[in-house]
Amino acid sequence: MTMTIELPTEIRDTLQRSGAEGRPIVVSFRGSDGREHPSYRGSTHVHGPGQLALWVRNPAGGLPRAVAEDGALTIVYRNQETGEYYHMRGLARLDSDPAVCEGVYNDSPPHEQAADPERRGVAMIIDVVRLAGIRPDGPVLLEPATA
Amino acid sequence: MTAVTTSSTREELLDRARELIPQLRARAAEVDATRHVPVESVRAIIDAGLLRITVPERFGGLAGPELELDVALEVAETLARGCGSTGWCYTVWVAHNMVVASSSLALQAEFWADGPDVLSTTMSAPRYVDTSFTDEGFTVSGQWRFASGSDHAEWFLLQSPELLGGWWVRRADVEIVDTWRTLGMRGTASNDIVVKDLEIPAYRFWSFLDATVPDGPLGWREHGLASLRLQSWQLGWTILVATVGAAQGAVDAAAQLFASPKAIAGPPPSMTAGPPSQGPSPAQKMRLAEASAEVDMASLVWRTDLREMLDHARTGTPIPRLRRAQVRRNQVYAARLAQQAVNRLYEATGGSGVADTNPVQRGFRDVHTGSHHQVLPWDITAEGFGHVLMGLPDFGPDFIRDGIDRPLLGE
Repeated sequence: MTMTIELPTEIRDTLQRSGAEGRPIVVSFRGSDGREHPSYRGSTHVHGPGQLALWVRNPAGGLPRAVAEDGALTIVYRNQETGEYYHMRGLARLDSDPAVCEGVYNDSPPHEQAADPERRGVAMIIDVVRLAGIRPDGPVLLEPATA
Repeated sequence: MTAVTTSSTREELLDRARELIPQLRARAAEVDATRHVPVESVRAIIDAGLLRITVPERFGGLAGPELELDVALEVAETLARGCGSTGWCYTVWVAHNMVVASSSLALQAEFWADGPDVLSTTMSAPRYVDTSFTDEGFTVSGQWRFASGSDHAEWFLLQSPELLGGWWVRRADVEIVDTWRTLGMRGTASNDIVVKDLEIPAYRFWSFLDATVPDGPLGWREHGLASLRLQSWQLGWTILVATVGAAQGAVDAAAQLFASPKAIAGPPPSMTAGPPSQGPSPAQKMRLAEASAEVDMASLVWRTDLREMLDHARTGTPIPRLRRAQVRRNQVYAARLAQQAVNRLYEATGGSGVADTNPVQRGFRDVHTGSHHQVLPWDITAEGFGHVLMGLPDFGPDFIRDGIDRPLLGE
C-alpha cells in the first residue's frame, strides 16, 4: 500500500496553475546509469488531493520506460517570484484506461494538448509520498503519518 | 582606487568608451600574449561607469528607459574596436547583469550587496552536468566550457540544459581549468569551470522559462526595463557586437597599415603596397572601402533591429513571424559581414600580416573566433529564413514556427 500525503489546498492550487503561469513542473527519474534525468513536464497538474498527473506524449520515451521499471520519481516546482520551492517524491504508474486518459488529457494546459491532437500519448498518475521545501511563509515538510 | 564616474547619458557613456580605445588598443598584443584582459583595463571600464549601464537603479546602476541594452552594446562595440577580447568580456559582463536582474530578488540582493560593479559570466556548454534535488534546492556536479571573462568574474552561472536555466554560484565554489587556447579572442579566458557536489539554494536558480510567464518576466515588472523583456532568441546581439567592433578595429588598423606600412611593427611592407614612394595600391583602397562599408552596415543593422525589438518589448506588441526570422537572419548576417570585411583586409596585408602582433591579423582572428559562437551559425539560420520567406510551415524554433515564446516541454 502506498503511503500518500494530502497536499494542502494552497499548494494544490499553486501546482495546478503552474502550467498556465509558465512555471512548469520538473519531473525527474533516476536512470540505470544512476543519474537523475530531470525535465520540465508542462502537462503536469493536480489529479487529486495527493496525486499529480501528466500527459506523456511519447509512450516510448525515457520517462515512461523508467516508470515501467521503477515508479519512483522526483517532482519539483519553483517560483522565483514568491520563493516557493517544492521538492516532492512520488510513485508513478502509466494508466491506459480510456476514461483516465481522457481526463488527464483534458486537464492538461491547452498548448500541451495541441502538441498531441491525436492523443497518441498516455496518462501518468503520480502518488505524492513526500513534500519538502519552502512556502512563502517558511519551510514545509509533509510526510505520511505513521501509525 | 579612483571614483567611478556616474553621469549617465548615452552620449557621455559612449564618449568615455571612445576615450578608452587608445589604451585598449595599446594593450591588445599583451592581451593576446597573456590570454588575459589586464586588470588595468577592467578598472578603467569600471571607473568609467560602463559596467552600470545594465544594472537596475535600485542596486546603484544606471539602467532606465533611456539606457537600455542598446547603449550597453554600443559601448561594447566601441571597446572591441580597441581590443576584441576586452569588448567581448565587457559584453558578457553587462549582459549578465540583465540575467541577474531577471533572477530572484533574493539573488539580486545578494549579487549586488556590495555595490553595482560586479562581474559575472555563464558557461553555456556543459561537458557534463549531474543534478539532484534536495529539500532546500540542488546538488550539482559538472564541467562547463566557454566561461568568457572567467579570470575576473566573481559570480558564475552554471547552465543546466535539462532545466533550461542555471545556478548562480560564487567564484570560491568553482575551479577554473585553463583550456582556452584558440585562434582568436585569446584574452577572453573562456575557460572550463568545474564544480563537485555543490549544494545550491533554490533561490539561486534562474530559468529561461521565467521569461515566458504571461505577465512578462520578473525583471521587467520589477525594474521596468524593456531589455529584461527580450526573449533569448533576440539576444544574439550580445554575441555579435564585439565581433563587429573587432572588425572595425581591423578597418582602423588596415587604414593605418596600408597608408604607412612602416608605422606598424613587423616584417617589411606588403608586396601589394608597392614601393613606398607610390603609396597604397588602388586595390588596398578599394578593399578598405568595401570592408568599411560592410562593418558600417553590420553595425547599422543590429542597432536598428535592437531598437525596434525594444519598442516591441515596451509595448508588448507581437512580432510577426517573418520579422522574427529577419531579425535572427540579420544578427547572423552581420557577423558574416564582419567576417567578409576582415577576410578582405587580411588578404591585402602581405608579409606583414602573418605576424601575430599585426592588428589586422588580430582582427581577422578575433572576428572569426567570435563568429563561431553557437548563436551565429549562418547556414542553419539562412536555411530557416529561406523556409519562412517561402511561407512554408513547421520549421525551426518555436518562436519562428508558432509566433509564441513558450517552448513545448517534455516528450
